[in-house]
Amino acid sequence: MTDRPDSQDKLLDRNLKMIGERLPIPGEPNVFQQAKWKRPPRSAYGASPPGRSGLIQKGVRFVKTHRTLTAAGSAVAATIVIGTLLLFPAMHREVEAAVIFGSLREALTDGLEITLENIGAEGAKVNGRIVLVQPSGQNEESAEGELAGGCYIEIRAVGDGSSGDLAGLDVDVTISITPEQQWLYAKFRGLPAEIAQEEPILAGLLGAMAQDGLLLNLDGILKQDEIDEIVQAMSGAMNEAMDEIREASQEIAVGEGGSKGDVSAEEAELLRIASGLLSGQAAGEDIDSLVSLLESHASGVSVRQVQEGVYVLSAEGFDFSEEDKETTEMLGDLAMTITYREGVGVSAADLNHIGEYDGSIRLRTTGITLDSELFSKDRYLNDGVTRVFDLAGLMQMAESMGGNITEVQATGTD
Amino acid sequence: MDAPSGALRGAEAAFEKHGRSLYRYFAVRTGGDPHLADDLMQQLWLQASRSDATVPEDQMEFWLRRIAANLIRAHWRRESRRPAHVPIADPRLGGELADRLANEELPPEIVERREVRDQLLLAITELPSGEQELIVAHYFHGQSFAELARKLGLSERGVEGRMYRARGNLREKLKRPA
Repeated sequence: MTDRPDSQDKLLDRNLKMIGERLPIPGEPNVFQQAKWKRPPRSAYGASPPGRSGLIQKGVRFVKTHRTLTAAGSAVAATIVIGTLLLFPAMHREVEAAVIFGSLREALTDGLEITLENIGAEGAKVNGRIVLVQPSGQNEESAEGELAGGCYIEIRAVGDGSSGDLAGLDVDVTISITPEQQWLYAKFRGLPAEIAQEEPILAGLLGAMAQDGLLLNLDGILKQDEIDEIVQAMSGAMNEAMDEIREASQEIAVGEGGSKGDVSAEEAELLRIASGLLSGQAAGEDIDSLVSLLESHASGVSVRQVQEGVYVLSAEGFDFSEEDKETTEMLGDLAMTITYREGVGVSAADLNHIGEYDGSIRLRTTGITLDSELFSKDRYLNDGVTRVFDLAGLMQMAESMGGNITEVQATGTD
Repeated sequence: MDAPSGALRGAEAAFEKHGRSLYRYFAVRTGGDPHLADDLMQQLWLQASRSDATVPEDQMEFWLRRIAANLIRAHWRRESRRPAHVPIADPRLGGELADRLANEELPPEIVERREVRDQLLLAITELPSGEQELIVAHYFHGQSFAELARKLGLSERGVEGRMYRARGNLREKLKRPA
């Protein structure tokens, strides 16, 4: 290449500056793309990538095996499972549910807030909010001391249509458990027709007591040390399970494979990735594995960097044709986005177009306002219509009458 | 992976060093399809990591680019047709552009012509990764010589010299596309 005159090079330089301002150049590949490059390409497998897991089936089975939960509770359970399934897909045992939430608690900066809109489950439409507060000692600056480790659930469940088990149900339920106070509020505007027919006394009692609102003080039911034990048990279960997972993951890393105890190699790997996602320490390969998992279920998966260190993973076009009809009906139109912040973890997840009511579930782990008034029962005490019962007192009264109600009923029917 | 560990490490290091510029190479030649570009990068890694070839380190990039060129050619051969928006090299137009770049002040509207954009992108992504990163960083991302000097551990004069050579090489790529 011969040297060119200065004038030519100067023109070349000026022209390239002009071009650089106007010519769109392909975007920089993000860290997830770069990690993905070292995976076998989809084209190597033809139409069906290998390793499609039955994780969705496992999650749905988990929901189905817990039909004994109350209507509102099962709707909450179903939506929590669905909402967290795609982030933490190895939930097929209760202990793993505890592990997941234990992991959540450890990794959360503020807490976890889940908002449900028009989620249809078990024959009811559910709207509501769930707030889990970081346990004490994890980040004392961000959690109110008296709320640390607390849990708040607010649900409105309305029975579906005029037929079905829960037709006629219309209930507000709020539960708040914190170290300082524990209470449950319920307002039954309508009961399921089936209960009203089969248990008229119970229905009448509930209607009379709870149509204007019923507040049960649970203080004293759970002693402080029992509450601490529950929180510790969750952390303890989490620690035990994470030890199992770490050992299983090490086995995977050195190529020994297999499963460790009750945790399979695949589940161990997925829980490790979930833990990394939650804590913000996930490597590009981890995100890539999550993308790979999603790609085995969805046709439109993308990851984009929205700002320095912040990535949004989107997925839609899920294919549940191999699942049962119920799963397809609930999740067939699902579209999800997950926001991941390096060093922080998953800060938000949105799941949209769920079920027959086109519902949504939103999860937030950062920017949550922890309002002590939310967890306070005072708003129900002061409205003048709510009936207030001290459950511990009621139980003591029942005991002092010489037995529990079940025994009295049994005696009565003999 | 089947390759001996030393060769694999070399391929891995080269892949990481030149990955961004190789990705751009695929992205342009797939008409801006990021998923297809990613798939081709995966294929590139698969081939590179499994190869038994002993490639000297200073020729690694050339070797990877040759594999990349074969992959993109094979891809479009397999497809029944190449979409209209996928750039194709035009030596005649590229040659004209190379001359005009060095001899006249180009009007900005010229960049709006698709065929001009295509030739520029093909030529830029044909450059070796070191020169390509310089051109992209300075002209497209606005990084100054001082910033580039700090990033590369060079003097500003050193960066000027490399940029001079990169500009010249770009004109050559326009005139004689691969």
